[in-house]
Amino acid sequence: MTPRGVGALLAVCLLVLGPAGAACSVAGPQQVVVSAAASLTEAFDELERAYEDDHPYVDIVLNLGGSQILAGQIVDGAPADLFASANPQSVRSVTDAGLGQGEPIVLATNRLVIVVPAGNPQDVMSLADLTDLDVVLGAAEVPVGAYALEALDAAGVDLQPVSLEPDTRAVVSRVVQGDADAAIAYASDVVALDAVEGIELPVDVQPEITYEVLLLTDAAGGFLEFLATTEAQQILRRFGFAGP
Amino acid sequence: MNRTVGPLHPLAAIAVALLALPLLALVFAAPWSTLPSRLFDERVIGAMTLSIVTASIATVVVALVGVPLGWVLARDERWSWLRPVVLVPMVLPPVVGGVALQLLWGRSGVFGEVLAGIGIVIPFTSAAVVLAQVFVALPFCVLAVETGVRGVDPRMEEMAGVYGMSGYRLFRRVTLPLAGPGIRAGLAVAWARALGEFGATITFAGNLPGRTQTMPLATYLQLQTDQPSAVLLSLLLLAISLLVLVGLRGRLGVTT
Repeated sequence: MTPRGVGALLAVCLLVLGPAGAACSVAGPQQVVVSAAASLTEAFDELERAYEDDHPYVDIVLNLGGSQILAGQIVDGAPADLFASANPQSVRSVTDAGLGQGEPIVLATNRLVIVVPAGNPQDVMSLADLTDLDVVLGAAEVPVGAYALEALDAAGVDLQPVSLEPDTRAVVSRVVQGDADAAIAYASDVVALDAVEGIELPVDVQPEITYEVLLLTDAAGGFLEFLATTEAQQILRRFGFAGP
Repeated sequence: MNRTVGPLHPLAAIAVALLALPLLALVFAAPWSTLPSRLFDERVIGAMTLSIVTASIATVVVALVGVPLGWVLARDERWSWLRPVVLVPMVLPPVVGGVALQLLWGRSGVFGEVLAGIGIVIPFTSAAVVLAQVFVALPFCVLAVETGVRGVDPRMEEMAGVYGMSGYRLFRRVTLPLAGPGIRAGLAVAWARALGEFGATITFAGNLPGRTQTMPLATYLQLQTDQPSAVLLSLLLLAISLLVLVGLRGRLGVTT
């Protein structure tokens, strides 16, 4: 290899290794990093668009993933200006680490539904109807799975799931693809899908599911205020979430 | 030693650092004090047993069909156009393999629908785990066997032919022993690759402790709630992988 080739390689390596490579910025819109729960994906895509339309000098960057994973990243020092979590526990793990400004704010609520193929071919009416079917739940380690277990417990239903998926999107996709007869997931996950429908759970077994936002740096102050506006709340409703 | 060796050393050192530092971090983060109790945790044992059993079954399948395929690719030019098809799972993101397997074997898949008709369901079973492992591990074996067989002088086979050996017997008695080191290396790498399989498994086979939750899947899920256990599982996988490499003692790649 020529010395020049070696130099170029070295430059590439330095760019990959050096934090300076990531931090170097050209004058442009101010970036605001929002770490948001995976179940908020579509709603936050829309919220980002709406906010950026009115604030051309702000660029919202979404970092989507499981709430606990995101909380872990933030505690480990990942750059984030706002944290939108699918459960209060993940927010608490961030505030416990001494991070965050002010109190967390309730952004929205969600509901669990029984997810079945469109037209409900197996005539599922309640959680008790799931015992003879191939049912997929979220793993107990992730919020959607923990909530599902809570609901099944409250309903006194004991079922043997065929799989425990790592996140709520994977849970729903099993029914969409036809490998499972039913699943338990968030109402907001099925709103946009034609292939499946959601069957509401009775109020007495419905767990309380609240989404909280925590301000991490002042940079996201404007976006946080926007989230409380009627416009933002209407977007969240459209994607299947309910008010705080 | 040629003139360019000097400047290459720093880059080589960076390469070593890129590979070794994350693994060292894993070793330092390991919950050494609680290791025994975590090691004998029901979930860890369950995932480890399932992983070892499924990876071993997958390796048997890989040996049964992969060794013949490696030999055919090395000796029969008419098959050579198939090489990219055979090797593509090596470079394909495993999750794509999982989607593909699901479209074939899933309940509404091409084969899956027929099988479901006679009461056989593949997804969410340990058989699905093995299928996913075979898909990702097979090419490694085929490639190693092909390389090994190409290293055998065809005249050896011709000579054996002169003495009346042919077909399967010739393969078993002459080619197989001569290509043996390559084949063993191929199978060891296939086993290790099967053991580490994650993407295709979680996409196609799902995740259920005792049935489809292999060690990599357990690692990923533990990471969400119990990081020390996830680190321990990672460490176990690392130790097993190192054992395989040590067991091969340089039979991989260039130093056959």
